[in-house]
Amino acid sequence: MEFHKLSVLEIAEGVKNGIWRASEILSAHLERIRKFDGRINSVVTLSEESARKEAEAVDRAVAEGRDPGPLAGVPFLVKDNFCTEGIRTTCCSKMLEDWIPDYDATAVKRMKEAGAVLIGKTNMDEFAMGSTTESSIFGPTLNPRDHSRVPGGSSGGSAAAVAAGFAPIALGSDTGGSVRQPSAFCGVQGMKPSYGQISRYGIVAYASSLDQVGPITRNMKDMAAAIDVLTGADANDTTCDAYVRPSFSDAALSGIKGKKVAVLTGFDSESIDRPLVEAIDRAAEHCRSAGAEIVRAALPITMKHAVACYYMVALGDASSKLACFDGMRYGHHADGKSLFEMYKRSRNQGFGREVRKRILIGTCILTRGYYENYYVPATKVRQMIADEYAELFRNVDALICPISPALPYRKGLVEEDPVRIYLGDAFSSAANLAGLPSVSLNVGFTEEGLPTNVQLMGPRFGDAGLLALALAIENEAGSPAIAEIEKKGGCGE
Amino acid sequence: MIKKMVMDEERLREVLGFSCIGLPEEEYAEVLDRVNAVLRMCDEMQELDSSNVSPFEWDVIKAPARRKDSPVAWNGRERLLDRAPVREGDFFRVPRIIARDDIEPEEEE
Repeated sequence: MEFHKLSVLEIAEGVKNGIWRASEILSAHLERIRKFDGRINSVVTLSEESARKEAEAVDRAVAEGRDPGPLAGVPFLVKDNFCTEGIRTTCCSKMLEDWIPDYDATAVKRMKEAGAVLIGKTNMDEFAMGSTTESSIFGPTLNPRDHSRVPGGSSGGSAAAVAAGFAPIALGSDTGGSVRQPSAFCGVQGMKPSYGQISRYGIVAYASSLDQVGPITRNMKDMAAAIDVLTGADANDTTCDAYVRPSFSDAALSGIKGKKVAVLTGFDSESIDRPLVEAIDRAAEHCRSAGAEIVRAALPITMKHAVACYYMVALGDASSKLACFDGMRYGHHADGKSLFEMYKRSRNQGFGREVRKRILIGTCILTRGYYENYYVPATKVRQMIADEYAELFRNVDALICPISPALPYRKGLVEEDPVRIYLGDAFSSAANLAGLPSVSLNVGFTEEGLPTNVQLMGPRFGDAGLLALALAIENEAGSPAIAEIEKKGGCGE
Repeated sequence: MIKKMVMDEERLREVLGFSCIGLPEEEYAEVLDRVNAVLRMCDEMQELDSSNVSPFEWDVIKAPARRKDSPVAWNGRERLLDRAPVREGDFFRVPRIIARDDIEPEEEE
């Protein structure tokens, strides 16, 4: 039995019905990680001991006739910026390389309570600052579809692991596209729910007004099942809304007949890799086949200003958030003759180059002159972007647009052209600025085997409708297969 | 009136101090290029007329999540003490980390 090919729902159904045991599902996935992860470096910590106990508890519940939960025995991985009780949480930084949290992030806790089994932590850009998963102290992750390319980032380890069949689901965090862009690069499905849907408690923040937890799966029914488990109020995160959610799994099955779906226009399609433009046309055609009406819509303010606005807000926020890493309260400490020297040495040694540069830019933006001339205008432009989307969604149910302007980058581009990497967030970051739900959906592969994903967006708290749209398209396009990690080099060889 | 700005070396030194980050002088030019490239990326945004727009804030909350304002028993003391690198009775033993005379000042790392 090839357990690694099973979906989340197939595993849970089989475990609940006694067809297979959580322990054997776990063993199969651990074995696959041990055998093949050396090729792509997506998992940075395996938690085998605690995973065995969790899987045995699920098997015991089934044997005793108790409900093992909706995700019974499903192995899952989480990005290494989610706190995990008793398991190191490093943010892939020297700053936290030995840090072992005393509690689980709410998202991790909810997955475990649903019967899922935490098998390990995944690689990421240091402190989630990057789009390539190359700035990790554990070394870069490679794209499982083509090892000469990056997996995207910052949740690149999570996306690569799901694509490689190391787990049917992984969690990531998304500040400007960090779940959706790597999902696109690795050819899997990724979702950033509305701001306020999932608690961020226990996630090491990058920029709190933008951060959101997002699952990565290989099909949209699994995604809806995960969203059902993960969403809900949390007294430890007051930004997480306490409204009563619908069943997202049921809503996903409702179809899109009669819905109005806009395709984004008004951007320079010449600057987008051709297969990704064609992917949008294909997705629109699938919507039409499923009974939706297709219209065109432009977002002039968003298209021109979202990425600049995003970097002002995110870096300003990040420089404040990361001030707590001072060598005393958290993380790496280096001795110094004076207090200031100790701070400086600790931060210099603990943070990598990219993080230090982003902190510098963020600090600059918050100093006199720059604050009034850059940061404050950015917060106003953010409101204008949110208003532009609100107006759009008064007239249509959803939007289809690119998630990334480019197919997966070749390794090393971040060093050659960092501003081009920043501009790669042009389409993804708007969902974070406006707090909207957004899905990165695979709609096929190029002839060379590179994935082509599109972005679907909906109104704030319109997550259920967005899942229905994504599933309707997936029903037409098919869900992506597992990457041929057994074949050395992937499709690039 | 919104102004376009450029970061220079003097301001960079000031920002390095604010952010408690050190930078070797040979990297100043590269960082200044990077900061100024980001500022140029943002210049067009300043040209939008946002005079009648308020700064963004989250206001779409359907039902706020609040916890009760009441004391909660916490029993993690022993568990946390057991995880301390060095425990001394009911306390964490921590090294002296500031105002040490045995540390030589270093050049920028």
